Amino acid sequence: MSTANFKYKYRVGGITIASDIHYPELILDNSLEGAEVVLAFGDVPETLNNNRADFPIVEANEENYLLKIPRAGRYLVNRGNRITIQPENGAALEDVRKQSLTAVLAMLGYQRNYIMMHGGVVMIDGRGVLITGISAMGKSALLAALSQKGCPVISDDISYIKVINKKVIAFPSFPRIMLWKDSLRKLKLDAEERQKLRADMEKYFYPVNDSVFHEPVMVNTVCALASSIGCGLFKTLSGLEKTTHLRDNLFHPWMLGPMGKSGYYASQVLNMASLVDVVLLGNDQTKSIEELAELFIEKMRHA
Amino acid sequence: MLNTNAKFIWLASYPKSGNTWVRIFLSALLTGKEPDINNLETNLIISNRQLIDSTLGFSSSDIPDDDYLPYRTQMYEAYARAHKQEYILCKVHDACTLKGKVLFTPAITRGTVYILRNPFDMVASTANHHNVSIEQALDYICSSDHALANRRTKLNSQVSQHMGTWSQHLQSWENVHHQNMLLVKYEDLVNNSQQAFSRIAAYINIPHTDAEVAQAIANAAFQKLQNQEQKSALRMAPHVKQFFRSGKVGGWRNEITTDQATRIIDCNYDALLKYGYIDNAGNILV
Repeated sequence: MSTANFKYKYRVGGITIASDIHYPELILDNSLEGAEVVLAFGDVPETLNNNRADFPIVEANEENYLLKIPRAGRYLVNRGNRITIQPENGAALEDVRKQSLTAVLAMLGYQRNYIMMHGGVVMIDGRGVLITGISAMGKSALLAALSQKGCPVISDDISYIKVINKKVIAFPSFPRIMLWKDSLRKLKLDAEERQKLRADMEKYFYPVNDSVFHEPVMVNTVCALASSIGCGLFKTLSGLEKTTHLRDNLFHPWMLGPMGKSGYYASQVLNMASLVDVVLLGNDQTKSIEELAELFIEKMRHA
Repeated sequence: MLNTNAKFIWLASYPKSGNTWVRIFLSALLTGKEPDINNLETNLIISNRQLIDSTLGFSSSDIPDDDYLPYRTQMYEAYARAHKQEYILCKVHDACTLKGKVLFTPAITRGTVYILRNPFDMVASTANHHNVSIEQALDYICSSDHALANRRTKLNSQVSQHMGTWSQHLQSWENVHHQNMLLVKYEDLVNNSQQAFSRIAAYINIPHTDAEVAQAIANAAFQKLQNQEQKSALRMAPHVKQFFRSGKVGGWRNEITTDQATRIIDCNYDALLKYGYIDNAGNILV
């Protein structure tokens, strides 16, 4: 498809996206090649033919992902090469636009066969570490604390991973960390109103240094935040436990079945598990985030 | 009479009413072993964010709570459909209704065990749990807006749970489930343990003998739970110094003032009278 006439070309997770919509959060791509994906406002169906998902606001099949966000709009990701957004009448366009920066971009990655992990990648002494864990475990706060200590962060919340030549490679997403107001306060960071994910939520896309957002990074270690071990303690996993943790920390793993990709990602995760170390880091938030970040850096330097 | 077309058996209560204790007992009865307080068979709580996300199909933390509220009942139904066991025991602290909508409808409910504790004894326990003053704990119990995990400026591992006052919470469950609800008083669990816990097991339809119930009660004894907690903190409440406190009935007399007790009576009079926690003259009977 021709993408030359679009105002912007972005690069997210190694994927080039052409759009007329301005996304100040995303990294612009200055290469001369055409884009792989088009992102535009347009008509989005209310429901999918052959919907295979059983969720109230999400539908999916092998080729499509349809997200219906109340008071924002409908989002359709199609065949890994098109994202269409239809705002709901009366919705604030800023909210509509920013809601496409999480699950929608992750599903684009799945459709393009990336291993989409729930978490972010940080570089410690030049080596990539993927920090995962279930929601509310403190992933983004830890990434922000590490960023404050000078460790470059290349993704948060959704991480684009591929196994290439027996190496696990993370592709930079966009230079923002999603932080709640309390986390910003603890980290002594100030955010602006316009950085909110939604005008009526206290969740912000906090900007981080974007100087490292151009090259993929090799990931050696996956660190899963967990409440099952003492705060600040590490536990190295082996065998089946590694695979289980990686599988559990895929982004929205419940979407793989409806997308017809369960088998594909079972083998991808198995492959990834054979190439990385997987450690648990206990975090029940009884230690300060700075203390946890220091323990993390110390551990990863000697990993 | 259980609704055997549905799976959820709600273990419902206002916080600090003995819900965890009942779940530990049930875990002990189901396994025949002394339960690990951090690894219970009966650990599911309906407000768990992972449960909500996996049934919503989307990260609930990326949209305002009110935007997925209309789907909550549908989501619980989907969760039950996806799980093959005959019944699902599930802890609930929410009031049964929220903003005029029934969250836990009879159609998805196999049965409800409602654990009721006199609010006078709950105050000091609530203050300890939330690390607040007695007065603040009183504000919670007497506030129509009282909710757990309701802070809008941080992400919690549980979604927001509206409860209202102690008596509003009780009424919300009674109004919806009065035809199929076992109400168990905490004070009976303490003073008539064998009989009260046996009623729960019988209602849920867990096969049991008197000896098995007695053993499960022994395995869930407060002293044992306190010993476990001393060795390893309770993970569901990592910021609480001591989750399993005295558990005594009538301890409030050494913990709150008469004025504070009167405030509880003022905002919960009818329910306190109905369940025999006060007499007509407002004298406290526990």
